[in-house]
Formats: sequence, structure tokens, C-alpha cells
Amino acid sequence: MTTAMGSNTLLSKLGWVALALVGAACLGVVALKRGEPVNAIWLVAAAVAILTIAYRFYSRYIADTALQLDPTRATPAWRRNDGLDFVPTNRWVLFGHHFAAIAGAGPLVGPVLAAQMGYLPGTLWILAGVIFAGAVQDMIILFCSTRRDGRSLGDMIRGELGNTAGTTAMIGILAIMIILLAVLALVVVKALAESPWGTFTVAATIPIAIFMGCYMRWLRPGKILEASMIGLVLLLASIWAGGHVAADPAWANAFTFNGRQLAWLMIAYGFVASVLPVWFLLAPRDYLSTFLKIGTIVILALAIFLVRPDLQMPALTRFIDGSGPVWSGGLFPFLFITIACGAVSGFHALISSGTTPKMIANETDIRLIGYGGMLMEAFVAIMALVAATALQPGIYFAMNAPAAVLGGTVESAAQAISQWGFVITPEMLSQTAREIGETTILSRTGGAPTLAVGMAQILHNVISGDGMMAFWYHYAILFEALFILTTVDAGTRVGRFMIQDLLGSVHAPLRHTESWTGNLIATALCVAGWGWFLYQGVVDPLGGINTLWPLFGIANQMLAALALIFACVVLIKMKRDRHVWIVALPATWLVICTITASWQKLFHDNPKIGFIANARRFADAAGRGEILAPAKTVADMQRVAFNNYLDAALCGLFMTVVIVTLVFGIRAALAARRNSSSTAQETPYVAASTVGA
Amino acid sequence: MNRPAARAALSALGTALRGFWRSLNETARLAVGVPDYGTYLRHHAAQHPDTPPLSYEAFFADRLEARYGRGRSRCC
Repeated sequence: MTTAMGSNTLLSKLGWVALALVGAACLGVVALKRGEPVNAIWLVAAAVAILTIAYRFYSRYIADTALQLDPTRATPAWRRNDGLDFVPTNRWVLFGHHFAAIAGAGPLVGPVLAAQMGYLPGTLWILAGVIFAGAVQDMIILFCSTRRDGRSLGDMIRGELGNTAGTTAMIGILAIMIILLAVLALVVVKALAESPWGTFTVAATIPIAIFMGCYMRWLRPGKILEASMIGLVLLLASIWAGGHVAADPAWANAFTFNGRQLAWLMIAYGFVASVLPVWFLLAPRDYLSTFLKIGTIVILALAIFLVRPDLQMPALTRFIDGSGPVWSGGLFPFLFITIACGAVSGFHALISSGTTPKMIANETDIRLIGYGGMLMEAFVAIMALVAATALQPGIYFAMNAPAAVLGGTVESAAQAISQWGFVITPEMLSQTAREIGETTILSRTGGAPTLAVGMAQILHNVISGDGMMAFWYHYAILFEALFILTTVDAGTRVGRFMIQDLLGSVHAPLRHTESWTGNLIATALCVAGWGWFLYQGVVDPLGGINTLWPLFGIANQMLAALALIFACVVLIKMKRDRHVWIVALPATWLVICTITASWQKLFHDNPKIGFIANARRFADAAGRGEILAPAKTVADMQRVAFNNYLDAALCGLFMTVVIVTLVFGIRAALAARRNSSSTAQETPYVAASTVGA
Repeated sequence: MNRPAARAALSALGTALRGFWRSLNETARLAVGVPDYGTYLRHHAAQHPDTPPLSYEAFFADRLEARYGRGRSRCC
């Protein structure tokens, strides 16, 4: 028996050593090979090996030392079991629930934008970030919430750091919500502008979802999977029909919109969809997008293993100096802001303190669901990076550089890109546009179209044929747009409730969720908030993503910093000071990144980076009576200046939220250290065996 | 392999596949916020035997409201 176990451990140790060597070798190839394309399989294999090792060793270390997960302690799911919200759930089933809730558009868009610096910086940050920051945050917040009856992040911060810190966090959460909705809506607008095929298929999801809603309401109540299968078939049919719409001049004309028109349509849609009863449109669309999202992630993973594309983008490009056309600013701090989701995403702290902690059957499951779930998201981010860097760099920059840099024609674009040192001809640009069934690929910024072309090229190698490239492109656009729209309407509802809460503290009746006045006023305010930033992004000469994505990244990292500062305080209150470095390390890094990035966005001399410098540039020129492109009148100029001041104010707000939380965190930590016993506000220990677990 | 053994192996495989399909179903439904109705019924029968449980339709509607109700965040 002992010998068998002994040889088993030895064998298992050898296995882990072998895996570590494989991972190191693959990463070596990825990092050191120069001059010829590296195959994506090296990158994927390195990521899988490194993430597996991190899960096996680091997450177990955290579970055993800092958290001391206790299998005998009853979780809220057992103590408060009601068969509805609180239900002890199988760990793998709950893993699926949690992953579906955390994986969104963020891990797909960020890595695509970061690819302008080459594939290496993004890869290294995703791997290091997820192991030491992102997965740590998700796991510890899930742990804290599970020990506090599934309370939300804002509530927990209020409890452990005091009311002021709690209110500050709530304001921060509302601000990130508004920016998130604006930037995601902008991604969809950029993907659908001047694209009748894409616009038709995405518009078709509205009647399809309504049909599913009615089906599940009256025809076959509650038959989710059945309705979703029918919806999926209709979606695929709408992609096929979209091709015919785009081919027919009259129909194509009816579905061709420019960015401004699409922005107004999005704003109207967001308002209506979030006010209607949820069963009608919002829920069925959510079902479709959730299943399509998971399915497509699986398909993409399989396709990458089957096709094994070469990475065309160099490991590092010249744009690590901060002069890149996709977004401006140096590698530090802006790479760490651009890739938020996939490496570390503050938003996950809201999910980890949402429904998941109420369903944890045993504390030890927190490791798989919290840490493991985030590792899966990092893997999705790596796949997005592969899809973007497997494209020819010339195509990548043609799609992601703003029109102001590329000019309006394939000739001017090819010339501009060739000057950066990437070979591309005008014919190749037109040819690619034809293949994917679009009129142009120039300045299709926002990440979604780039990812769609990358995915289409990979999937086309698996299922090829005449016109299949265009089908796959529009499939990928639909997949991204569908779950972004779900986030927009559901997020608008969440924002509405937050605003109703705030309004309710001024005039109590506005708080009632059933009150139509409160509902409409709060929804209008929420939509106006993100609609303002969306519209500003659409008319922005540098394409909007350039401005809004860094703001979103800063907001998301700010929230992560808040969550990790809170986690530090909790560990100190629990008298686990020896292990506090596990969270203090990523917390420090995120505070440094968010403060530096906000500071540069505020005060950098380069108007491409600093909001205030850019506002002054326009205000001064307007004062001299000059008109700077793309503004056409002095009033335009003043609006650009105002918008830049507004962005600056938002940056200032994010910075203030971080600093205030840091101050209150340090205060709470010092107070806890003066106390000789644990002061963490956990629900008292109840033995699992006494509640039927 | 003799016939009864083959039949036993087949039926074991069938049970395993059915179990796998059931948990796949349960995972998919929970991914969109609808927990297992059977678990709810068992819980209700054990804890509140004196009151009738929600019908499946009412259970589904209740979970729908909970998923999109106050304060449920969605991720980026």
C-alpha cells in the first residue's frame, strides 16, 4: 500500500515536471523564435501547460494557506437552502453557470486591440495577469461572499471598510457600468456600419427572440432548450438570408446605415428592450447568446487545434513605443489597461459575489469555480489573440487604424501601412473585403470585425467552400453582436435599478421597481448616460475606440483594485497577515496601473493620449478661429473640447475612487491589526453535517 | 464475451450516457439561470410538506424575474 502510494506520488511528480518542461519549451519557442512565423500551437500549448500548473499548485496553495477552505463548514446553499436562489449545486454544473456569467466580449476585444504591439506582450500579460491577479481576485471574492451569505461586493465593502468606502464603490460600479455599455455598443456600431449583411442578421435576432419568448410563454411554457434550438436554426437561416439581402441593391440599401444612424438605433433599442417585460425579448435573446457563445468558444478551440495557423504578426512590433494607430500610449501602463478581461477583470468581482456563492455546495469547490473559471476565460483571451495575430499584419492594421490615418481608399491605406513596414497591396485589401462579403475592410475598428476575419480564416480551413468565408465572417459578427446586445439591454436594466436606488434616496417613491415613472426616468437616465459616450465615440475622428477602450480598461482595473484592496483587508482582519501578499501583490500592481494610466490620460502633453491636452488643442484653435478636422464648425470644435473635458473628469473620478478606497482600506487594516482577535464579519461557523450536507 | 454480460455492459453504458445527458441539460439550464426543478420539488417536499409547490410554469417565471431583477450584474 505504502509502496504503491509512494510510486504513485513519484509518478505524479514526474508528470508535473514533464508538463512544466513542455510548457517552458513551448513558451521558449514563442518568445525567442525570430524572423519566421511561429505556429499558434506553440502558444496554445504553452498557455495550457502553464495554466494547468498554476491551477494545480498556486490555487491549491492559496486554498490551503490564505483561505483555509473548510469542507466541514456549511455553505449558504445548505444553511439557507430554498430550492430557488440557494441550492447546493454540483461543482461542474456550477462551473458552467459561473463561466457563462463571466465570459463576455471583453476577453475577445482586448487581446485583438493589444495585438498592435505584437503577440508576445499580450500573451505574457494574459498568463501572468490571470495567474497572479485575475484568478486570485475571482477566487477570493467568491470565498468572501460565500462566507457572508452571498452578499454583493458593494455590500461587503460597506461592511468591512465602512459606509463611505461602500458608497464610493457603488458610484464606481455605476460609472463602470455606463462606460462598459457605451464601449460595447460602440463595438457593435463599428461592426455593423455600412454592412447590410451584418445589420440584417443582427436585426433578425429581434423577431427571432420575440418568437422564442412567445413560444416559451404560451406554446410550450419553460421549454428553454427546445426554443433555443429553433432559435439557433433561424439564426443560421438569417445569416444565409443576409447574403441575399446584401446582394440585392434595394434590400441592401434598406439595411445600410452609417455610424450615427446605428448609434441612434442602438440607443432606442436599449431603451425599449430594457423596459419591455423580460420574457418577451431580453430573456430569449440571453438564452440564444449564452448557448451560441459557449458553442462558438468550443468550435474555435477545436478549429485552432485542427488548423494550427501560423502567427503572421511579429512577436514585438515597433508600436511598443506607444505610437501605434489602434490605441495611443506606451506598453506600460496601457497594455495592462487594454487587456483587462482575460487577465484581470474587476467586473468578475460582481459576478463572484452574485448568484454563484449562493450555490456552492462545499467550500472546497471555490478553487475550481473561482480560480479555474477565470483560467478558462484567459484561455479564451489567448484564442482571440491567436485569431488576430494569425492575420496578415497589413490586414490587421488596415482594419484597426482610424480613417484619419489611412485615408479613404485602398491605395492610400496600403501606402500608409507599407510605411510602417508591413507589406500589403491595394488588391489584397479589396480581395479580402470581397471574400468576406463586405464592401470594405478599412478602419473597421473595435476589434469585432478583426476577430471575425481571423475566425473566418481559421474556420474556413475546417469547412471551406464557395462563399463559406463570408458565411463564417458574418457568423462571427453575429456571435459577438448577439451577446453584446444582451449585455446592453440587461446592463441597462441593472443600471436602471442602481439609478432608482440613488434617486430613491432623494425622493422615496422613485425607488419602487413597479413604479412606471421611476422606471422610465431611471431607464432614460441610464440610456442617456451610455448613449452620450456612444455617440461621442461614433463622431470621434480617431474612431472612438481609441478614447473609450482605455477609459473602460481603467474603470475595469479600478474595480479590480477595489476588490483586491477589500480582499487584503479581509485577510488582515482574519489574522492571516502572513499570506496577505497573495492579494497585496496584484492590488499594488493594479493601483499603480490605474493611477498611472489615469494620470497620463489626464495630463499627458501628447493630445493623442492626454484628454486635457486634446481639449486645449481644440479650444485654442477654436479661439483662433481655426477649424481642425473632423470638426466642420466652431460649435463642433467646442463640442470636441467639452467631450474631452468630460472624459478627463471621468478619469479623475476613477482615480479618486481608487485613492479613497485605498485610504479606507489602510485605515481598516491598521484598526484590525490593533485588535488581537479576528474582526472579519463572517457568518458564524455551522457544521455542514448539521444541515444535511 | 457471453450475451448477458454484453447486455449488462450495454445497459451500464446507456445509464452512463443518460446521466451525462442529464447533467449536460442541467448545466445548460443553469447557465441561463434556471436551476433544477426536480431538486426544488424534493426540497419543497422535505421542508414544506404542508404547502403545494410552484408549478413548473410558475417556477420558470419566478426564476426569470430573479435573473433580470434588481442588482443582477452582467459581465463585459
